Amino acid sequence: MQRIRIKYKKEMKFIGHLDMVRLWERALRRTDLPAAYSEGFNPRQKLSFGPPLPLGFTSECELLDIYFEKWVNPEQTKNLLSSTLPKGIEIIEAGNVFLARASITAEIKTAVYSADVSGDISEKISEVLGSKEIIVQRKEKDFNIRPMIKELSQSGNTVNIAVQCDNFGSIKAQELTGMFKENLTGTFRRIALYCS
Amino acid sequence: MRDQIERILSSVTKPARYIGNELNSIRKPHDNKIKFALAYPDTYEIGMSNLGLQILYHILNKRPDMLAERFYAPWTDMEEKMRENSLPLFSLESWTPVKDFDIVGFSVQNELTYTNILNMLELAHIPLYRSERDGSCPLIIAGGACTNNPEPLSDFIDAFVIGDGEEVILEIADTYNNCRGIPRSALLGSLSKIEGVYVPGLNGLGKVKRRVVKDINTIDYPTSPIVPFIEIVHDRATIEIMRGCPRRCKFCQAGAVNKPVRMLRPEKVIEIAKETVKNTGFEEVSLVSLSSSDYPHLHEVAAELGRYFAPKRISLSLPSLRADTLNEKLAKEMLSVRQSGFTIAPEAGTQRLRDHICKDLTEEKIINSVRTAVKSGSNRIKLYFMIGLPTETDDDIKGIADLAYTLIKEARSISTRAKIVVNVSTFIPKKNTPFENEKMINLEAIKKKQEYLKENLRHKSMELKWHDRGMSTIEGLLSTGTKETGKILLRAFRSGCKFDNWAEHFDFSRWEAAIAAHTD
Repeated sequence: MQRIRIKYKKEMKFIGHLDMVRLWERALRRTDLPAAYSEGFNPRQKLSFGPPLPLGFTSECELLDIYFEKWVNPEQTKNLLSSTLPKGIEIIEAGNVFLARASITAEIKTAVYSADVSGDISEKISEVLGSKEIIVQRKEKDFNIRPMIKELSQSGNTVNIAVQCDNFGSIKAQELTGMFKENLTGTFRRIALYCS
Repeated sequence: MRDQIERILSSVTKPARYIGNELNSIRKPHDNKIKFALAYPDTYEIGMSNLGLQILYHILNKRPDMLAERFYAPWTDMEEKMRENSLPLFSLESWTPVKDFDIVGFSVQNELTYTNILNMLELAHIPLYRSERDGSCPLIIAGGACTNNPEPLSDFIDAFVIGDGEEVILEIADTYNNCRGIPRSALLGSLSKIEGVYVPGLNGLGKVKRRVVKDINTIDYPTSPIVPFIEIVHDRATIEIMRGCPRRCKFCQAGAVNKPVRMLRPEKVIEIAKETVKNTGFEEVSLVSLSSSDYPHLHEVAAELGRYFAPKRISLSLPSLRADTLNEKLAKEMLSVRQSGFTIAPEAGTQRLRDHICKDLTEEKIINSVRTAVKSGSNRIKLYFMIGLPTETDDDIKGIADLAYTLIKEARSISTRAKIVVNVSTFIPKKNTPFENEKMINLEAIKKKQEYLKENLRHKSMELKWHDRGMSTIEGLLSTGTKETGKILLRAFRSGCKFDNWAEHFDFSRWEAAIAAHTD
């Protein structure tokens, strides 16, 4: 099994998660690398993705696990895939991982996002950090997202926010953008995924 | 403009429809080139599924002195935003306004996309009437199945391609280039001299000789078609193995006008299929034609591709297989990787009517092929029928139900999981077919026949689907229409008609009003 780290730039933010899955299946098929397939009537390559990137977000740190039938040099994976990807998708690195290792989604606990903002948002930041509850609507019910916000800061024209992103819950894209709506000047970027 | 587009894209559904940049899409610098904008007047998902446009895109972009970019009908939310922001319709590749191209070519495959053509011209800020356009506007041309009867569009389109487009498209582009700097009327005069080109008002339609590519093996076939980001209607590699049809079904426009029958050599089919999969990564390859069973090398090609694709988990599909030629060997080759359905088109419910329309199929052959398909693992059988065929009686409608019951019984005796989908469309007379002077049945009659089938096709393993009768009526109006019909079309468009082949948008009452206003 190999884990690759990917950047999705520019217009790639408009490609939804399921379309990305198909894109990687086709890219892998183009390389002719010995991908492992599932059994059954509709065999598919065994690919395992990290937490879906929200539509409209770019990313510098997406993860994808690829299962192979036999040994493949990770450099070869990286080179062959890189040569057949549409513009705007870049593989940062590929490496072998221990087959019994937990899935990406089981390992990831935290996602860090950043976005360009205009004006002073220090007040907004203190307000968020100082509050015990930030109520949003989920399935027509009140839902407190405050416990999922782990860190929030501004450096220059950029706001950085670390949020919970695991099997027990994560912040939705519109909840994230909603917090800084008036000040946003660009799109959100996912800049890191952490295991703790 | 880029910033504006990007901002808008963040607030519309499926923004990927508009961004271009797909694998194998081609972006060339715009300097000193003949700039072609290829359009399909429906959504990205439908337009991208059109094989003809992929071929033309490839042929034009192969020429160093030309470029081709694409655009499709924006969905209504996108259109709203574009109008709100006065943003003109733009191409996918470079986000260039359509009106900045030299030539705009529409692929017209379905009459119910006509209002979209007008809408797209308007969104591109191009005058709808050709009489209102001069050399500062792109040359607007159209080709495709519907140019079999171009008259309803003849006030809006400068020149029509009648027949195969692969060769003539380059002749049109070259003529355009040679006529730069001279008045539009002179360009149109030169275009009207090209074989297969109809220029309304210049050369009479009756005198235009249909353009035919003599040997389809000479076509520079794209083996690196564009791989879409989002799922499209025909999301697979498609190879046209045969053009034209040796059958002579009297209702069929495609068979009647695409003559003679021309075939792609088997080694070429195999080579194109393998190469395309290598360049696209598609998980399915479809060999298409009007009647693939009549392709003499079908077994040989299917066997070789089955062998090559199976270990790669790529499936092979063969739509338009005639029911009487399906055998178990071929069925197995098709189903080597993925389970799929099987489609047959008896078209009529009784032998008498099948004979009358020259559909060369017997009940025995239909039953045998359904048995074969189910035995080979196809559990979903699709049947295609037509109502309203010339000489049809109540017996023929009853025959549809009877045949469907016979088939579901046969199918379920082999597999209890077998299901039958009965698709019922309405006969529409098409120009240049033996039935061109037949009458289409009216709305009431369509309704009566549909109701009968609804009452009499009730089975838990059977599903009945039919075409919207209002849509069929409008399709009939336009397919047999004249220049006058174009005025109704414009009225309908002005009253808000667009995406007429989308159930959620089609508004028959607006069309009725347009027809009534015109006849007043």
